Amino acid sequence: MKQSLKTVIFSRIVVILLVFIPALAIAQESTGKEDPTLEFTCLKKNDGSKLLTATLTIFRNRVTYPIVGSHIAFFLGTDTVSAVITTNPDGKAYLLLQLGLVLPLNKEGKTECMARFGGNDSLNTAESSFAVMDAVLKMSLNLIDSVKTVAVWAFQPGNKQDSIPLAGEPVNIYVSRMFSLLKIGEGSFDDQGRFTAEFPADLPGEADGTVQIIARIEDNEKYGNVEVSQSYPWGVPSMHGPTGSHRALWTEIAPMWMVITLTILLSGVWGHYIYVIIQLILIKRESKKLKL
Amino acid sequence: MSSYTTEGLLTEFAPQLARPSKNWITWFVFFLLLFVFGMYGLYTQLTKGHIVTGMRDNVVWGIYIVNFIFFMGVSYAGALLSGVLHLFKTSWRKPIIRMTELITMVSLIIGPVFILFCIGRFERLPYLIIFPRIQSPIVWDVIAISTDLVGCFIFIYLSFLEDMAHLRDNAEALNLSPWRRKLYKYLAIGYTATPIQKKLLYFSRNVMAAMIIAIAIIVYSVLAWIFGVTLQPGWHSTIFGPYFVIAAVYSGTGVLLVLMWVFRRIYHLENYIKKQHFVNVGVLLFIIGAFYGYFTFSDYLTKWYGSARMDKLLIDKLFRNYYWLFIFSNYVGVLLPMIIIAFRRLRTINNISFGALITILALWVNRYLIVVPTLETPYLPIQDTRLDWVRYSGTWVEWSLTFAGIAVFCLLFMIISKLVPIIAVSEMVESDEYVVEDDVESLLS
Amino acid sequence: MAENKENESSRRNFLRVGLGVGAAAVAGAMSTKLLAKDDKPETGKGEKVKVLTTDGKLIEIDAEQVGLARKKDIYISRDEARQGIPNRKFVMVIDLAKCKNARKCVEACQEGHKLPKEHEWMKVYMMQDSDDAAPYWFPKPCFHCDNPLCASVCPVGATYKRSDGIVLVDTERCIGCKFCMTGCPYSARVFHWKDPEVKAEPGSKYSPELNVPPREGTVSKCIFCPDKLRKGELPRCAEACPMGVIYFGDLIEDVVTNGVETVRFSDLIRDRAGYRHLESLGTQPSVYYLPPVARLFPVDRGYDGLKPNIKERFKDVPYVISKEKKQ
Repeated sequence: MKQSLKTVIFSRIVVILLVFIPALAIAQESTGKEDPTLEFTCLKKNDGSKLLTATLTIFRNRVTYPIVGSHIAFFLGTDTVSAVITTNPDGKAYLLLQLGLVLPLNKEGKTECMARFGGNDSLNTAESSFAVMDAVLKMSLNLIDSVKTVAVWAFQPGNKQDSIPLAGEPVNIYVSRMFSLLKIGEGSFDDQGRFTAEFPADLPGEADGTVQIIARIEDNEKYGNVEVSQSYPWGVPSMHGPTGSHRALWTEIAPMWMVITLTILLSGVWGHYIYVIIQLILIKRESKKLKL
Repeated sequence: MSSYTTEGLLTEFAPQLARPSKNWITWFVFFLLLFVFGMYGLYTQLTKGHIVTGMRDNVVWGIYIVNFIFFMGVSYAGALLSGVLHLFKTSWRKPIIRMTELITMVSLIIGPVFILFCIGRFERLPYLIIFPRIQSPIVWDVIAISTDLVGCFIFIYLSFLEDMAHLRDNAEALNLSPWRRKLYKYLAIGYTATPIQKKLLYFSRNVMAAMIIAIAIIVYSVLAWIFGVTLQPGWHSTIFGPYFVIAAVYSGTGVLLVLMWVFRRIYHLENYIKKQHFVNVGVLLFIIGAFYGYFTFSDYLTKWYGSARMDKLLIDKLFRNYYWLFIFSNYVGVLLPMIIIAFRRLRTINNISFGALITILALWVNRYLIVVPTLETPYLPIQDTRLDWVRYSGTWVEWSLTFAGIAVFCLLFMIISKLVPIIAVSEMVESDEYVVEDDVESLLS
Repeated sequence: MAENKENESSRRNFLRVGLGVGAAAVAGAMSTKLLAKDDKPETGKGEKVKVLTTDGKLIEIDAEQVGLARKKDIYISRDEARQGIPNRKFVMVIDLAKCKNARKCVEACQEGHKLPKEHEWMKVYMMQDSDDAAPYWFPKPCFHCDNPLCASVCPVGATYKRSDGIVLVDTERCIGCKFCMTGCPYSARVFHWKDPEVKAEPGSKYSPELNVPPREGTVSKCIFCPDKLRKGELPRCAEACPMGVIYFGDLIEDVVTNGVETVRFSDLIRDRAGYRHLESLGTQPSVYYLPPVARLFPVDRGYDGLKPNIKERFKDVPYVISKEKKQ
């Protein structure tokens, strides 16, 4: 009896496999298309507008390539297409939502956004979606006990009394640099939705000490990405301008002593040459005198 | 010793200036063929690029630079010697001083041409004059070589002047062709040996002789500093300036001796260039050779003794890959000429000339050993699989141009000897008696 | 600060690295292939971004207004190239503890500057300071020294140091005397001994900041990719390195980044004991090294998988000699 049960299960598994594997193979063979990757993010910027970014790429031979010129359909909380954007040469499609635009919310109070790529002759369709709640992030820069402090606080917008602080959500504080952002603070909001970080006292800024300080909630499941930034002269004013003399061994103009030495040497030698040539001219003149 | 008259000397030397003999033509054609072969090599390089040479990213300077240094060295030696001999008024200088001056001039024309072969884009050479940077040792060298060229031409012209006048005056007696008469008349600028003119001329010659010595030393030191100011192991040596000057004078003296032997044979000048001359110049060779050996020994001893890693790598490379060349250049090249001149039995004209020939070869190898092994031992190890990137070896293009350079040297001498007496007639006539005052040989015995 | 890593998602990092290698070189080639039949791609000039207004209307504004314009290549002429990027002093830090000789830096540099395969502006050595010392992989670009011997000895001023610290070569002025190659103690320069057979892009003008195409009879070397720096992008080698070995940044800002990690330069050098190679030569390089301590990989990881013609390069290293003997 037990043996027959085993064989029954075994045969079931075989049947399932026999059905599905060819189906998969046929499915792949019949389409013959590649699967692109669609990434869809939302960033709430400093001015309150929201930037939706859809990035369409394809992964081949261990390298990722952007897919250019393809139409991405954006769905903002509804089933109807809100916009269709074409990807740029980096494979990105942007849609900017103005501050104050109200989008439909779902049961949890989140806006569901979806980006969809309809596919073409060589590529399958791709979809990506997220659901986020609106969050407000504010930053203030204060000198507290002569320590430069960056204070941020975040809450969900609502009536003033109803605004819910984003307690426990992680936040990062950065300073903008030439190629990237330097992290100067990392942590979570406290129960009041506040977080403070110390600004380093010795960080160089521009010539007048200006630095751009950025606070970000990043890749948050509930709130997406939220960013706020401010420029302030808290950096150490940096020494700009050319260092070192413009007269050196490696510069265009030689050090003064070289110029002087060379002039003295050359004028000495060539002076002698000219002197000798004058003597020769005198010889010739002598002969002319005699001929006359 | 009979005294010499201008007319007598000129008559004797006239055949040199006459039409070329069969022998002359044969040699002329031989050298011309070498030159043409070199030109074919140059054409190959111009069309296919510098890849046809042996130079690669590590050894970026090869045989061309070695030839450049060698020829410039010979030239400056000539300048130095003729200046010294002139100022010190040694009487035995007279038959050979013209040759010394000619060596200076001819080498000075050939040397810089080798640099041109090494330049990657020589249509841009004018940039050296339009955009020069005086912090660069190459610009120092350009200024120095042009100054030296002008100086040498003036100096040689001054010493030719009297001979030109004599040839012009005796044109009829010597049966010179019309174009030659015109040439000598033009070059003589109306010099007729009046007291004022003589004074002017001799004064100028003394000034230029003194200048030439100073210029030769400075200019060759500048060439040495092209290597000395870099950080490369083996080159960054404080002794390089004086070392190069001594080596140059050594090679120039060697060339002088060989030329003396050659012209003595060809033009049958046994009465004028005698054994004493060979011995006297040979003694110069001995002294300078001793200095050269001393400088070389000092340089390598300090490199070898100290423990600096790069110096050790360089010395190892010299003794491992270049052992026999090193022995030839720094031992044989120094000791053989010294032995030949030191022992009376060995002190014959042929031996001394042979010693001089060995000197010339040894010094060319010495330049090669200065340039190439250093570039093969850089601070960052050469990690490359291509053999020609690791070790340098000259290709046929480079060798063909080397021999073309030597051929041009000989060709120019052959041509000049047909235009100007190879022995300075004016010098010979200067004193009433031609006596070899400094009989160095008797001093040595 | 070295231990603080930016909390980037792996996807983002992957894309950035991937795009850095693929996009620039391939987007041009691939875009036509991957182009949907529908539209032409949006190019730099007059780039527009769609905005959904509060009224629900879809309008277009300039991408530049919202900081989304793609960074374009700026043409810098030969004269302009002699002035550096203002108010910058570039520095590179190479972490020898992470290098496993992937040679992606070498390849990216060759590709970006259209170099023949046998020319390497970035070279990776296997260094072993003495017979008993540990071997390590040593990527070596041009060090852009503050006391550059190469610039000192150039007779025509074809190579020069700019205010931002970069030493460039103007191959329109170079006469090919190779004095700079003998002057450089780090063997950083290569010479084009034959025609590299690389054509310039039609309509492009020569700029020393990209140094393409290479010219026969002139010298060239690593230039710290000023064409990319002007766009705010890292040099090609730093972007291409899969291990994040190469950090690049501005000394005045005191920050270096390898694309993933951004740290304060002074902290990095202090905490990891950064040094410069052959400091005693006094050339004051702009490239610092972090010693190969607590390495991510043993040296063999970079040696065993190599192609034979590259493997043979290291046959004189004492470690390789003893390794081969054991086998």
